[in-house]
Amino acid sequence: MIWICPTRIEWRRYGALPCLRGRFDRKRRVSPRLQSAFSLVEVLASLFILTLSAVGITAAWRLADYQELLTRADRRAERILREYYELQTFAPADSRPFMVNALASPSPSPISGYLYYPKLIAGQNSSPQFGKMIPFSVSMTNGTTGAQLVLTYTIPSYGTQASRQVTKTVVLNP
Amino acid sequence: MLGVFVVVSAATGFLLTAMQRQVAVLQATALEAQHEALAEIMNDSIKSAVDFQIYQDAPTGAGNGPLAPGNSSGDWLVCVNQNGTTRFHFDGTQIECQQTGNGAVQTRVFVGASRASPNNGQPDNGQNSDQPIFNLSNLGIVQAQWNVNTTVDQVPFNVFGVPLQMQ
Repeated sequence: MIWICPTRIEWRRYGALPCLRGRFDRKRRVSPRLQSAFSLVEVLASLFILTLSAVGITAAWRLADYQELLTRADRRAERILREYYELQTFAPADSRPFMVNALASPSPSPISGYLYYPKLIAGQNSSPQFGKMIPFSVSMTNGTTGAQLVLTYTIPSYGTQASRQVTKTVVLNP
Repeated sequence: MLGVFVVVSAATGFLLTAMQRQVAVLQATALEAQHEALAEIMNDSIKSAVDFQIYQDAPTGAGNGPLAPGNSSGDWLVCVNQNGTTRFHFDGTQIECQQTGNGAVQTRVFVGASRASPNNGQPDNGQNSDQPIFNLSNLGIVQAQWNVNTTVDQVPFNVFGVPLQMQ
């Protein structure tokens, strides 16, 4: 049996009552049946260490989750850019997502969407619901090396790190 | 004793939750990578096809002659190129890819697929449409569109391909 008590208690070898260690008990008795318990300070210290460990592990876990999300968003952005590159390069002129003469206009309308549709917790039954995160837009600009497709997406903030924009560019074949 | 029990229980629960979440993320990543490979195979097959057809029902006959006339949309896509024939079929929950070449038949199944919503690029919030996953536009662009429902999110896939004869 483990007792939690503010002070340590020693049990008399032959007595029925415990003996409190203090200045009235100068003679320490070394007893083979000595039983010790956790003090309140020890329990509080262990709780504090465990809490710190939990907070640390949670922070590391969240960081890993965030980095993994960034990796997936990056791969999806590359995939989307590759799709539109194929379409813009090989499709007949009337089916291309961006018209060539649209470059002359000041702001050709970009294509927009989201890179991440997380499953919402409330919708984990038969028909799951999905949210929208990490918006992106694809546009065609006239760069120094010619026409290019530009995909821009905004990654969410993490801790003190503010949200920022990531841009991916591919130069179209003339 | 009770305090120790509570602390150990909390730590165990925390660890189990973290492991469960990590397994879910790993499963989602693996499933997405599998469908990404499928999209690559589909894209290569469409772009290198010397003959292709989309069917609403299972195509009949598998001879060496030209493919039977198909439809403008459907859940079957057959592409014939120099290496052989590649056949894709969506059955509502999975996409089957069957590659035939030099007498060998290789079949791969990609689970976790669902029909994409009619509004392109938007999440399919439980509104399963009957839209076929393969479509052929009037200008010869073959489009395959499907969603993958992983354990943590939904991933839309769009494959655009212009066959050789249309380029």
